[in-house]
Parts: sequence; structure tokens; C-alpha cells
Amino acid sequence: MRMTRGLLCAAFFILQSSFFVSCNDFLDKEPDDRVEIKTAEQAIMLLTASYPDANYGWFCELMTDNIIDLNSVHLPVSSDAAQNPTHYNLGSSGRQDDEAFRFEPVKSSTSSDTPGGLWSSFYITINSVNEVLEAIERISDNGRQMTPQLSAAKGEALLIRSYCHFILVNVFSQAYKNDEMSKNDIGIPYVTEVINTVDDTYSRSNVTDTYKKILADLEEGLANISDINYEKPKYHFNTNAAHAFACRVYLFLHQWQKAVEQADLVLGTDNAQLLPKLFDYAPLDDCSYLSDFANVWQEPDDFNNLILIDTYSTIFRKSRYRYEQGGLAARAIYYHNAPMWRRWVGNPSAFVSGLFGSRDYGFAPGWIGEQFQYTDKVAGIGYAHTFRREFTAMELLLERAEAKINLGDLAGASEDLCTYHASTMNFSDKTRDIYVANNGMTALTDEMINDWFAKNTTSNYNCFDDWEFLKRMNPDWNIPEAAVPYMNCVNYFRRYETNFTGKRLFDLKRWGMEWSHEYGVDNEVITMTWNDPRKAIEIPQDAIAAGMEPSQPASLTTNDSTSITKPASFSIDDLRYY
Amino acid sequence: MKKRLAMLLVGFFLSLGAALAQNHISGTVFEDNGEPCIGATVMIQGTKQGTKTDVNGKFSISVPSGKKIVISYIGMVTQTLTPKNGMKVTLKTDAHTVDEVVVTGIQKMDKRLFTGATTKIDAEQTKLDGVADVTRALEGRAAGVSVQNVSSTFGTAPKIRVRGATSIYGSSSPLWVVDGVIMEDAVNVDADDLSSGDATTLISNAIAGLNADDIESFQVLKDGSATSIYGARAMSGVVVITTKKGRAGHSSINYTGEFTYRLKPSYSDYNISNSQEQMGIYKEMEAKGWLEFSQVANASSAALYGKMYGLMDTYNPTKGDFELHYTDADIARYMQEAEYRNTDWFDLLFNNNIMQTHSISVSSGTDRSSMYASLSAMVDPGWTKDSKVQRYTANINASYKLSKNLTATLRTNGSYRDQTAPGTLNQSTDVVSGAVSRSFDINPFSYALNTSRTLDPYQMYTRNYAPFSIFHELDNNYIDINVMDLKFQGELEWKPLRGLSVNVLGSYRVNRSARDHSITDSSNQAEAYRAGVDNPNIMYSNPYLYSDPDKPNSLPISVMPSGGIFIENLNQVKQLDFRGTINYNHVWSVNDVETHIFSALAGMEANRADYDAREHQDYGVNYNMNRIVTITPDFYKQAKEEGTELTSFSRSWNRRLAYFGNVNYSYKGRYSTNFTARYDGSNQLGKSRQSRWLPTWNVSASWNAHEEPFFKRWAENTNQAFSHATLRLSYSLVGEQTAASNAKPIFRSTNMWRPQGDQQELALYQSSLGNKDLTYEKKHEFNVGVDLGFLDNRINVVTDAYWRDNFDLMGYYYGQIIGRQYANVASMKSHGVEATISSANIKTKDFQWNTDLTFAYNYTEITDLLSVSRVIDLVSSSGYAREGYPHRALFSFQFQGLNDEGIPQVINESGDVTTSDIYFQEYERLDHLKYEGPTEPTYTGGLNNMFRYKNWRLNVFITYSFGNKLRLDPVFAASYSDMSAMPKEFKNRWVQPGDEKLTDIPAIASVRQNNKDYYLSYAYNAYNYSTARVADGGFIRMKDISLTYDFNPQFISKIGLTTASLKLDATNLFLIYADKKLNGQDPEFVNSGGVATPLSKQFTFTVRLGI
Repeated sequence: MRMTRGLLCAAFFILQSSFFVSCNDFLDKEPDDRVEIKTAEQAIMLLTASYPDANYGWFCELMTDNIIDLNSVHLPVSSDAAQNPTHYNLGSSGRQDDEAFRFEPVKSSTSSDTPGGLWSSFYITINSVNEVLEAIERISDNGRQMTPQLSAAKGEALLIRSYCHFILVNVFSQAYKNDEMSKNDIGIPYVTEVINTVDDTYSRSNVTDTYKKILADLEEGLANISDINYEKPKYHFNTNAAHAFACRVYLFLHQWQKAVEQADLVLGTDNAQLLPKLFDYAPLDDCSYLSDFANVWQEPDDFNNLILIDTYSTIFRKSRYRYEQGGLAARAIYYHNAPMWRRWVGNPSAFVSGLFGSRDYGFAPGWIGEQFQYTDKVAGIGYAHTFRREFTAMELLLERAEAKINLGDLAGASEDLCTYHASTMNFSDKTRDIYVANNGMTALTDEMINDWFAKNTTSNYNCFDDWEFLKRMNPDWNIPEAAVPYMNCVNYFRRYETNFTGKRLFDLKRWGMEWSHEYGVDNEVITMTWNDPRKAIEIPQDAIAAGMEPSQPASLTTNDSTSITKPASFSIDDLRYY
Repeated sequence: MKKRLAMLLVGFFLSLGAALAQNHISGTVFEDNGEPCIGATVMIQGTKQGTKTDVNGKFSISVPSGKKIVISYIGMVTQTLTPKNGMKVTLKTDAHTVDEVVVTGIQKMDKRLFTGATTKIDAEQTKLDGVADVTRALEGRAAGVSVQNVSSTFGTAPKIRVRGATSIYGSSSPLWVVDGVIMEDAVNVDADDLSSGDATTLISNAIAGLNADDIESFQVLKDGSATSIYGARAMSGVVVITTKKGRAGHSSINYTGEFTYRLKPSYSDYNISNSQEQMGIYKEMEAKGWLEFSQVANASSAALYGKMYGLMDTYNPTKGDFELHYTDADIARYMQEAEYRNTDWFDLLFNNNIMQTHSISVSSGTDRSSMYASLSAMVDPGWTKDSKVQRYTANINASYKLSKNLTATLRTNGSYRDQTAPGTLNQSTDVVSGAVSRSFDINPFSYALNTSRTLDPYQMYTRNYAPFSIFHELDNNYIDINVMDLKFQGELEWKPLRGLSVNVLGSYRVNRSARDHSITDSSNQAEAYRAGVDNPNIMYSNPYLYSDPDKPNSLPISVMPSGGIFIENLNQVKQLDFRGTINYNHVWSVNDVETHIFSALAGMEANRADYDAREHQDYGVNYNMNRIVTITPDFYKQAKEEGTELTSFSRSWNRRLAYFGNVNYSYKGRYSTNFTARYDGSNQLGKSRQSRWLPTWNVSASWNAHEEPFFKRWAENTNQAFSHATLRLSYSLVGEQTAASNAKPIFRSTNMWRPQGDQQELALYQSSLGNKDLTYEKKHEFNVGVDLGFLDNRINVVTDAYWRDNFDLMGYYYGQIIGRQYANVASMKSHGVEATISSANIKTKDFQWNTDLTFAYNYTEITDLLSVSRVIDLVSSSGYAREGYPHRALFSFQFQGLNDEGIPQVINESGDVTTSDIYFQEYERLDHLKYEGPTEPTYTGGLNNMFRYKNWRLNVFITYSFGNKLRLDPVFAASYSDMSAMPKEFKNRWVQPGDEKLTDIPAIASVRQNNKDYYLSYAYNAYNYSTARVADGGFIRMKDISLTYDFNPQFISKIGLTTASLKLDATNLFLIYADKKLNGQDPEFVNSGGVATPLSKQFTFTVRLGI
């Protein structure tokens, strides 16, 4: 009997101990096909999907002077038409659009194309990048075994992190003024640690501090970046895109010389060699559908597109409702007479680019064209992709021009602006015959800049008599009188070049400009002053509820609008109406 | 005399407390069928002395005075008796006394010691003949178990809830345990997916491979005390199924044959317009600008009108003329034919046939071994077209006593199913509007319900720009399902010491389901890939044609110019289970009274389940040409550009470890206490070692008042008027694994979609952020139970009340920088009462009348949930989670009558009465919605009456369910096609101004009205989701009426049978009560198309024979 009992105990002990020893191993089996980031290749592959998928284009654009309320009484697009004011009774694509247009906090939606969507999408991307950085630390044994691949990946990761925070600070905070003044403006949380719980808290610090961190990541990223890991470089922070990004950050920080240096690394210093690198309009000749135009504009093989960022966005459809680029906004951007296109009522390159819409309701450019990925063809359901051409050679050229103006290099700026304009005439022979033949469209010259962009006239919508308002942002910011036409020219070209990308808002903010919106049939005027708290877009309500510091003071609450709203549906059918 | 004297003496000595004398007694032991019991053991209690019965069942033994004798026999209930010379003892078979034992799947417990809430269901008495799926037999049988037959197609699981929902977003479905082994689902199908009608629902039922005739009993474990032995898997209740075993001393062969005839559904049960009424509607549609030649002729789908225009366009060379002229006379003739057609789609799409089930079993046993083996075949030619099922099962259960204290049991279950279903694709959800749709749906039931009766069933009409006829499509677009389920199980029981037993159980199960979806060359779905390729009116509209993005302005081409499609799906689960337990029972008797009853159990369990799911699609399969595949390179180019996944694999692994134990103590069977603890570990939370373990526990107690001396005296005095009373109390913590597994961050691979096929990149992405606080969903439950017996237990009442606190439930959390995250932040409360009343109303030799009534009430309320509930979610038919309301609450727009154009009006989010100014995505202002009620019933139960007169037995079984609201089918729209069938309500529709005062049925909107208001469909959608379109979900169903005749044993023994019976069942005959507004819509059924079918009215004839 004792024997039996002993055996039993032994058996049970063996059974138990063997399981105790192995039970954690037994339970360490992953529940499914998930991947553990263990190798350099995996870390690099994780970066491929670590780009933000939200588009700040639409809601930022809605706040700018590029968009009008068609329901307000407004003048027609064309100056050639009878100047009869008109208004419509249209619905917006959602209440969130009314809120953004009225400069109110966007509370009605946190889906794509809203500040709320941007906020979480960008921080999710930042977290994913932080996961990569953590994995690189692990794989490289805390940096002791860095390979060129790993350090290039580290560079890419830091650049994405820097870029995401750069966009966030430009959207949700006031623009950078100078290190002292910007210490008083609320920044955004700069996240460098992996999130591993749902209720972490973060501090927003200030704009100066945020930019310091952006710059630190940017500079370390630049030091490490290389194209060796990329098979499809245009969907990554390739070296050119990295320099273009650096140029933009330095430009926004008023570090003009560094901005020029970074731009030079991409564009070179010989503008004669530059033209082939800029956008080629010829392939647009064959396009008729929106997706065809989008394909050409978002072509990865085009040098001009330095990087393409895939976003889930229906910005094109949203531009077809109540708030459109109609009336004087469209006129200011491309529907007026200019010496460069004397014989045409509007900018011919804009028309060749695939302008969709009508004079009655307004336009949207082909470069924001949507690409539709079906999940169900019969029901027409799927994902609407909009590929952001986040950095282009053309925009970089304008950024270099702006930096040169601020450095006092007006000749250099002039050359960049003329090269930019020459590239907008980069048509096919067929199109050239229509628009350029018989001096219908002429190349921009330094004289024309000094003549046409000299000051504000009734038909020249983008010019200022002076740029004194820059002083609001920074008392040391001085544009001498001789440079004013060049800044006016930059302002105009940038407004066109960045049309519907949302970057106009960044320019309005960083230049300290003021503008207003007219809302509704009563033409309620809503003005944005130079240091308006509403220029720092409010973060989503859920984030505030979770304890995050709001962008705007609590006293700034406005009444909810009660206008008619209609939701947009992601159905391909909608596209056929255009 | 002498004996009597001896007895007196015994009594005398006993009374003195001295046991000195020896009494020699003899007796006979019988089995309950009257046969002598050979080889039964007769022991003197508390000693090792004893004897065995001889071939005549006789024994003789000398018993010391005052000692009792214990008579036992394998398979029989052991009896302890006071010896008496010439005694005749009848042993009862174990099966008849299972009530005294509670089977939890891990242990068997003396019912006196059991403190939890449980219901035992005898399979034989509750089996629904003609219903091959055993899970459905639970409906109305156990208080607190609700069974909703969302679809009755074989293989689909009904929605089963034990005491209501326990989780907000989880499945809340109970754990199924068969012979001690947890049956893992072959696919993870959550509560919503069960009613989706998708093909995966056909393999959602984990125990569809069980033959109903093999089942001995169900034990439903309801409260935390009963389920706590399953710890972190038990939150939603446990259903333990015990299959039949061989019995010692018995050998029999049984045959059961079931023959089932199902009635075709009839238009008289549904309110669908007949063809005359439909024609009237078409005429109005025509007058309102729909059905114009230009609009209909090239539309994606065309029926009556489209066909007519097509005929006008078709030249018939043999006739030398067009098929139809564009003349009033020809049109009138064509329309008149349609008007009088009255096609009976139900008659054409449903079959008249007999479903057969044959089952044969062999059972035998000796004192050393017992065996049960069975074979069954279920052959169903199909109620509807394309719904054949054949299922074969085999089951062997053998038990062998290796030595005095070692018993081995071997079990093998196998089943194979061969099934056909109409070809169906999965439902897809519009990510923005939440609208659910299904491409190429050919479900016969929903087709019959939704298709105009004016159509000629033998004509080809148009769907997806391609020719379509439902019969042709069902013949050419179908799914073959093969399911194989095998389980091998071995158990060892070792009893080294008295009262101590060591059990080891090992089991391996594999369930493999293959679904082959054949879409042949001539099917509509295949033809859609080439429809209109040469027709400039269609080519740009047909989404299945392909325009090469690299060639701007190129003409759309077909990427599948010939052949059809073949989609292959495989789902497999391989399950390995091991369990070891040590059980110790001991009873300390004081003065020969069982005073201290003690039992303890300790054990460990390890489970692994490996899941494998694969899908593979072949395009361009030429079905008539040896299935050779012809495909164009453009196909792959398009597939690449559109991100089409032609092949997918997904595997998952489940690993669980648990250590558990329980201790029971009872004082004299009066006061019992129980403590159970379990420690569960799982791999489902990823590699996080801190999140993966969960301890669970239960404390409970019971008081068996009827064991108290005062009660016994009282019961005796009142002639057992009040014969039984037990009070049970329990408090417990149990848990459930969540679907989330992101304790550590989760990374997966993906193809980065890019419009240029050559720019796509393989990538990894973070599919979930890490959450180190992730844990199990948990439930505290307090249960009070009172069991009462009256009139010598002829009336038994079992009642339970419970309060549940579900916490750490998964819900949404909004963080500071990351929007919505799924974490353990929600909670829910519920409470309820249950009662089961069983009564033997009349009990005479020839006539018996028994009544069983079950009743359950359950109320849930979500107490903590940060969730965005959009209007569209709250008003849609399945209801939605919202804080402060029951789990899955239904809301409605407030209908405000029709306007003077016949357009429905509701109150919108701004509080205004409107037609189409409605924002379905609104989530802040929700006060304009009216709360209707829960979508899940709060009251459920059943009533069974059994009458027996001599050999006749009549059973009448009613089920009921109340307290929920249902959304009526969304039949109204801003525009209709010439294919739609309209319900009869349309008769009362708004036709002219002024009608709005008389009717609530909206007008058929004209083309002009649609053009005037681009959002008119919002008005009609809101109407579909309004207070006007809600019905009470309560119903009383005449579930089953059966009449059985048992043949006299003497009579049938002449032809060599021992038992024989005939039975006629009428199942799902009618609804005794249902809201009139439902108009034939089955309150249980969710008409989602795909493979879903409602319950059928059926008659089953059953023959049972035993040798």
C-alpha cells in the first residue's frame, strides 16, 4: 500500500513538475500567424507600412482662402462673365465640413479627412516607427552591431517620426515664430516611446520644444538616411525626399541658408539641368478620367514626385459639395488674366492638369484624384486612396526661392521662379500648339515678376504692397521693398502648386496672414486674425476628454451650426457623377 | 415463527446497541426488467464479507445483527438494505438514477453535495425527431437557456445563450463539453456572423457531427458554482453532453428510423403581392417615370420590363420577325400574360421529398467490460433546391476493467457530412454607411420572398448585365461542403485506495471542412465577367470589365473571356486534450449515520487546438473541358492592381493550461459547502507572461432542509405533502478569453496596395498596439436557488435567482493620442430568475399526465461603455450596445406620418420633422431616436405536457419567448426595380394627396421626386428604421406534437423483438402567438440570404425497434 502511494506521489510529481517547467514554453506559442520583429529585414518591412495614412489636405484647405461657401452670395469664377452675384442651397459632405469652414473645433466626425482622423492616424504611425526603432535597438544589440541596412532603416524611421510631428505641430499648434515667442504656444506631444497601455498621459509642451525635437530627429535621420533598403523608393523617405523635408523644416524655422543647402542637394545649383526633372505635362494629353489624371500626377517614375504617401481620403469627392473652390477663390488661383497667359482667361497649365468641376460650382485639380481599391465590385465598395505628393521638385524649387529671397539673393530667387514657371509649360507638342503657339503663353521673366507681382491691383489677387505682416510672427523678419514682388510671386505660385494639399494653411499661418470666410446666404463674415487661437486646430474631443490639453482656450466655444449635412459614402458610383 | 422471533430479538438487541447475533438470510435480486440478476455482489456493510447471486439471482448470507447489506451490480444502482430473510430486491439501472448525480464533464458529483444551478435534460425525452442537430432540442427545455434558430440550415449553429449575454462584443455562447472533452469550434463565428447567411455558418456548429440517438443526456451548468470548474472558459455557461454507454448484463440492438416530410412554404403565410397586385404597382411605377426603355434596356438587372424591351430588340430569323413589336397590342399581350402568371416561387424552389435518418446501435456488457457502438445515416434530399445533406456517423464506446482497480475506456466518434448549398459570397459591409449587401445572392427562400410573381420562371432575365434565371443559376452555382469529424479518446481510471481515484483522459479530435464553390461557365456570376464587352452601352458600367490604367482611354476588356470560377475553402481544427484528476471521497460515519461527507478533487488540464483556414480561387475554369484553366495575363494584372487575394492562408493556435481543485464537505447531507479554484493560462494573449494567467474561484453552500429530522417528522405527519426543500447559495468569479490578443503589439504582413501593380510592396504592419493590461473578461455571480418537492416529490419546483456583474469586458477606450482602442474597460450588469416546475398530475397504472414548465427572465444593462453609437447602428435590426441600455438595444426614428406627397416623415437629430434631412452618422445628438427595447428576448421557456394511456403517449411541447423587439424587413425604398416583389402592405400605399390622413404606407416615389431630392432614399431608409416598422418579437410556438405507440413486449417477442415503437411528430406547426405586424416573418429567423433558411413545418414518422 505504501508502495502504491509512493508511486502515485512520484507520478504526480513528475507530471506536475514536467508541466510546470514546460508550461510557459507551452503557452509561448503565438496565437496566430502574427510576426515577431526579429530580423533587420522585418524591421525594414515594418517601415514600409509605417507611413501615416491620414490626409490633412481637406480640412486644412477648408479653413483657407482657397475655398468658399457656395451658399453665400458670391461672384462668378470668371472675370469675363457678367458679374452677377449668386448663391446656392447645397449640402456639405458632413457637419465636420461646416465646422472646419467656420474655424470651429471639428466635433462631428473623427473619420478620414478630419483633424481627429489625422491625430490618431499620425500617432499610430509614430508608435509603429517607435516599434521599429526599438526593434533596431534590439537587433543591433543596442547599436553595437549596426549594419548599413539597420542604420538606413533607423534614418528612415527618425525621418518619419520627425515628419509626423512636423505635420501635427503645424496643424494643431500655432506656427513657429521664434524660439522665445514660440515658447508661449502649446506644442504637441512628442512621442518617442512605444505605447503599451491604453491610458498613458502625455504633455504638449510648447512649439519651440516640439521643433527642437523635430529637428533632432530630422538631423539624426539625415545623417543615417540612404536608399539602400528601397525597392520602391518613391513610397519611402528616399534621400531626395529627406532633403526636401529638411528644406521645409529649415524654411519654417527661418534657417534660410540651411534650407537652400538642402534644396540644392536635390535640385542641384544649375537650373538649366533642372527642367527635365520637373513635371512633364505631355502624358496628360491621353487622360480623360479622373483616375487617368491621378495616375499621371501620382506617377512614381516621375522625378518631380520625390515621395508619395498613400492616404485613405475622399478629398476629391468632398470638394464637390457646398464648400468648393469657386467664386473669387478659383479666380485668384487660376481664373484670371496674367502676362504669362495673356490670351487665356485662366492658367492653361491648370486646365491641362485635369481641372474637374465647373465654373458654376468650382474646381478641383487632377493631382488629388482618387484611386479606388475595390473590396466588392458589384456593390462598388472599397477603399478610396489619395496619394499625397508630399514633396515635389517643383514645390522644393519654390521653397528654395523663398529662402533665397530671405537671404537677399533676389537673382537666385528670380531664376528659380522662372524655372518653375517654365516647367509649367512643359507640354506635349499638341498642347503646345494650342496654348503656347503665337505667344499665347510666355515664359516668366525677371521683368515680369517686377512688373506684374509688384503690388496689389484689382486683377492681381495674390499680391501685397508690402510683407510687413511677417513682423507679427517675428520682429526681425524683414522683406525689403525690392523683394516684395518676389514674395508675391512665391505666394501665388505656392498657392497654385499646393492647391488642395492643405499646405496653404501652413503658409497662411507661418506668414501671419489674415483672411476671412463668408458663410451662408447672409454672408456672415468670419475673420481669422494673425494670431487667432483658432489657427491652432482643436484636437479631437475624445483626446480632450481623456485629459489632453486643448489647443484652444476653453472660452473659445462657439455654437454648433445647424446646417444641412449629408454624409458621403465610399461608393465608386459617386465618382461617376463627375 | 422462529424467524420472527429472531427478528424481534435482533430488534431488541439493536435497541440495546449491541450486535451479537448472526442471522442467516437468503433473498433474490432482480433487474428492473424483472429478470433475475446474475452475479450481483451482496456485501455486509463495513466488512469484506460477502457473496454473489447465482443464476437465479438468489443469494444467502450470514449477517451479524444490526449490520446492513450492500447489494451492487455493474450498471445498477447500489442499494444498502436491512437484511430480511426471503427479501426480493430489484436493482435499478443507473440510467434511471442519473438524476442523483451531476455530471460536470470533469467530475461526477452526488447531487446532495452539489450547490450550483444546473438542469439535466434526458435526451430521449426531449429529442426532436426529424431535427438532426441536437443543439436545437434544448429550446424551451432548460430554464435560462435560450435557443434562437436564426437559420435552420443543417450545420449552422442556433444562437444559444445561457442566462443571457455575458459580454458586450464577445460571442456569449456556451462551452460544449462532450464526454469530458471541450468541443472547439471549427471556425470562430460570433453572434452576428451566425445570422449572416455566409457559407462559414454551415460549419459553425461544433457538434453537428453528433448523432442525436447516441446522446444520453445534456447537463446545462448555469451559475458560477456549477461552471467554476471550467474557470476562465465558463463565463457563458457550459453544456455537458454525455453519450450512451454499454450496460453490464444487457445486450441489445436498437434501430431508429426517421422519415421526415417538410411542407413547402406558402404564399398564404407571407404577405407578398400576387401578380395582379404587382402589376398594378408596376403600372404606377411606369407612370411615375421608372421603367423607361432607355433606362431599363441597358440596366444592370432587368426583369419584366427589361425583358420586354429586350424582346423588341431581338430578331427571330425563324419567325422572320421581331419577338415583340413596340405596339400597344403586343405590350398589352405581354403584360397580360405577366399579370395572370402568379408564379409560385416557393413551389418551384422547394422540394417535396422525405428526409431519412437511420440509426443502429449495439450495446452489451458484462461485469468486466461494456460496449456501445452505433452507426447512423442521415439522408436529406433537400428542402430547397441545392440543399442536399448526407451525414454518416459512427460511435464506439468500450469500457474494460483491466484489474480490480483499473478501468480503461476507449471512445471513437466519427462523422462525415456531404452537403450542397446555393453558391454564395460573403456579406460585405460598406465601411461608411454600415449597409450590408451580398453580391450574386441566390438563396431560394429569400429569392422566393423577394422576386416578383409576374416573372416567367422559365425565362432568362438579366442580372449584373448577364442572363439570369434562378434555376439555371442554382444548377450552375453551388457549394459542396464536406465535413469530417473524428475523435479518439481514451480514459484510465485507477482506484488504488478506497475512496481515491485517479483519472487520466486523453483525446485527439480533428475536424476538417472543405467547401468547394463551383461557379460554372454559364452561370450568371461567371457571365458577368464578360457581359457587355461588345456593347458600348454597358461596357463602361459593368464593374467586372477591366480598363487597363496603363493605357488611358482603352476599351474595357473581359479578364475572363471563357470559363467559370472555382473557390476552394478549407477549415481545419486539430484538438489535443489531456486531463489528469485525483479524486478523494470519504464518508465518516458516526453511529452508522453518514455524518461527515467529504470529497476533494485536484487536477490539471492541457488543451491545444490548431486551426487552419485556407482559401483558393481559380478563375477561367472551363467546367465542360476537364476544368482546364484558361486565363488572360490581364486577369493577373487586374488582380494585382486591385489587391485581389486569390489565395489566403491563416493559421492560429490555441494553448491552454489549467490547474484546478475543489473541496466539498457535507454534514449529514444537510449542510454542504463547496470551494472551487482554478488557475487558467492561455497563449491567446500573446507572449505576455503577466496577462496570460487568471485565477477563478467559487464558494457555495446548500442546506437540504428535508434531511433535517424536524422536516422528516413533519413530512411524515403531513403525508409527504411537503417532501423536499433545498436552499443553495453561491458566489463566484469566472472568466472568458477575449477575442483581443494584443497584450504585446501585433504585427502582420500585408501587400501595400498601389495603383501601379509593379509598385506594390510586401510589408509588415502593426495591426494592434500593445496593451499590457489586457486580461480576461470576468463575471461575479451571486446565485440563490430553492428546490422544493411536494406530494412526495410528485411536484418539483426548482427556482434560481441570480445577480451578475460582468466586468473587465472589452469595450472602447479613447486615449489621449490614439483614438479608439479595444480594452477591458466596459461593464454590464444582469439579473434574472428561473423556474422549472415538473408535475406528475395524474399517475395511475394506465394513465399518466406529466407537465413540465420552464420559465426564465433575464435582464441585462450595460453600465459602463465608452462607445460611439451612430444612428445607423442603433436603428439597424440587430440592435447595438449603448450605455444605460440592455445589451443590444433597438432604437427607432419617430415616424410622423406621410407628407402631402406621400413621402414618410420622421424627426431628425435637430428635432425637426423632415423627409430626407437625416444624418445617419450622427452620434452626439441621439434624443430623436425612440428606445424600443432589447433585440434579445427577456422571457423564455417552454411547456411540455405528456399524456400516457397504456401504450399510447402524446406529447405536446410549446416554446415561448417574449420581451424583445424586432425590426421588420426593410422593404421600402425610394426606387424599385421591375424585379422586386412588394409586400401586400403596398395595397394601402399613398396614391393621391389626402391619402396621408388615411395611411402610413409611403407612396412609390416618382423619378421627378427622386430628381428633386437627391437624398430621397434617406427618407425611405429612415422609414424602414422607424417606429412604424417595429414589431413585438414575442411568440408562442407550437414546437412539437408527437404521438407514440409502444408495442406490447409479449406481442413483439413473437417476431423476435424486445421493444418496438412508432411515433409521429409534427414540428414547428404554427405560431400560437406572434405580432400581427410580422405578417409571416419568422420572429426567430434572420433573413440574410446566402445559405440561411427558416424553420420548416415538418412531419416525422419514427420507428424504433430493439432486439
